[in-house]
Amino acid sequence: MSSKQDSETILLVEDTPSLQMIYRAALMRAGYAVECCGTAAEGMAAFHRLNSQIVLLDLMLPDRTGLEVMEDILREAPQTCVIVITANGSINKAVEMMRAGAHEFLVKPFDDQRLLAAIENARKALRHRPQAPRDVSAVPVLAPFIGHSPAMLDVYDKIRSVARSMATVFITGESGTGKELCAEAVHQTSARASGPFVALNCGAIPVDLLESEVFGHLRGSFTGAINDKIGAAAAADGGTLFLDEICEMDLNLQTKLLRFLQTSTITPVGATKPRKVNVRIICATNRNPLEEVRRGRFREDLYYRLHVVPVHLPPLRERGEDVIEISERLIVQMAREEGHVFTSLAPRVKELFRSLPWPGNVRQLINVLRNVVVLNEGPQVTVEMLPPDLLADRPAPAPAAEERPHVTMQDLSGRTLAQIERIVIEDALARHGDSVPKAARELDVSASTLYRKREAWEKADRKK
Amino acid sequence: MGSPDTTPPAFDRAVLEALFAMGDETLRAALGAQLEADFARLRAVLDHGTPHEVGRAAHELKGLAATVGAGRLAEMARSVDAVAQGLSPVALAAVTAPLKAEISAVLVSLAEVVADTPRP
Repeated sequence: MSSKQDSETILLVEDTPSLQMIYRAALMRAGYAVECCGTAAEGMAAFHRLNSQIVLLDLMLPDRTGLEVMEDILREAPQTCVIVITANGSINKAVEMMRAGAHEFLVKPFDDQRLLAAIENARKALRHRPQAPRDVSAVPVLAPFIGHSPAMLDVYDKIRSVARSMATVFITGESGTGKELCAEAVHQTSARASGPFVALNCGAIPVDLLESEVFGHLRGSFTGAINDKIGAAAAADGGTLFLDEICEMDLNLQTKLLRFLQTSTITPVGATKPRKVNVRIICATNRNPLEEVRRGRFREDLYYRLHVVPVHLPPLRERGEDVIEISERLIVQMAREEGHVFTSLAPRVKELFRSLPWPGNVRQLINVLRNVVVLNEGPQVTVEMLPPDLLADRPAPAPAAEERPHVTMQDLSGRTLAQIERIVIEDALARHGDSVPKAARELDVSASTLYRKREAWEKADRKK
Repeated sequence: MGSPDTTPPAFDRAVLEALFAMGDETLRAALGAQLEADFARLRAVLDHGTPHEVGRAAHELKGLAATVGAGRLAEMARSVDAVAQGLSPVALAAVTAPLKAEISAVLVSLAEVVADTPRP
């Protein structure tokens, strides 16, 4: 039987004796106990004997692959932090290992500081892990998500499987599919749940300010910098930084983000010394990131650095009965908040909901339900209660974009320029399923401009 | 009179010296000897191995060389690692020849560095 002291021994499985010696020396100098093995068989025997919580594992061993060894280790002890060591040029295999549950990977050559940082990250993760592993597979739905469709069950599984890892998660999906919710779920199920979760919408912040928002600035570093400002990366130290609409990020800043990912250090605007931070990155976009790479709008090296564990959120129209499950759950909850009583959906409403394309996805569904609950008493949602424009979304043969009813000159005559601007922008947003980035591209303005204008209109509307 | 030798050294000495500095005299001696043994072992595989064995040796060499600061050797090993398994014995001998020569150069430099490294 292994003792606590044994389990704290780091198990190093590396078949090159010189490298074994070098890694062992670096770890021992930092005060760690290390057990070295040169083959998979020796490694597994030592693992059974020591029950090591941290395993440094070379990807290519003489008798088995590192992936097979890691799968055996995690099957027997899912809490183990496996740090994969790989030669330069084997990044794809390393990514495969991360997807299979590795905690982190180190690319040769790496210095002793990088090695010790990886061990320290693993130790922190172990401290925050529950002592007894929870049987999460018995609970298929991952709160706060609602829905049992196969596509979403896959998403829940993926979120759970990345929980033990430090891997970067790249979330894609149409606008309104719940990308931020997904990022929060990854954070909440991870060992970093007790740390901060900081979300930053890269599309909502003007390009000039984004660097300062991410990395912070020092007082006086530019006009208007009247105080030191801590950036999102530093605010997320020990937790998770969620970069939404990552493809909207300026190319220059992408370079700085890449450096941050490579070195885990930030240099606030105006500062001369970098500062080390420990942050897990989750990013999201509603664009096709690979297409953005092909078009030269997104750095390829950054893409591969970020795109370690992709999670795709399916659109609501592909989630089968989820639309009904979500509606029935939310309608009761919203009714309670509004002081009304709603208990169910009429059969015709269910039929309609199943057939609608839901271009705005769950966000659109929530708006529809809120509208119904606020304006009606209940107890059952009927077709007559639904907003009239929703019925226009029925899946009749979709007209070509040019044929869709656009804002006409008649709609605009007699209006102020500001009113016309709002009409045109809202029309573009409606045609793009409320996707700000897509509308911004059509109107050839930055997404941040549209976010600011929308916020100003909402404020003005509230005052009326 | 020939032109001065401008060939860059086989090792980045600073990297190797930093590794030796991680421990005491015993580690320095042991690591020096182990590096010599590993490079010699891998050179022997390049001499006599099958394409599969040569590919694996090049892969191992790539990581080892990069870690100890033998950048040129790491780069050459990376190239051989990428192609070794699809080559005929003749082609394999041709691509491994410069690699073996570089290993020899590395072994010479290694012996010099080991001899020169200041004792703690």
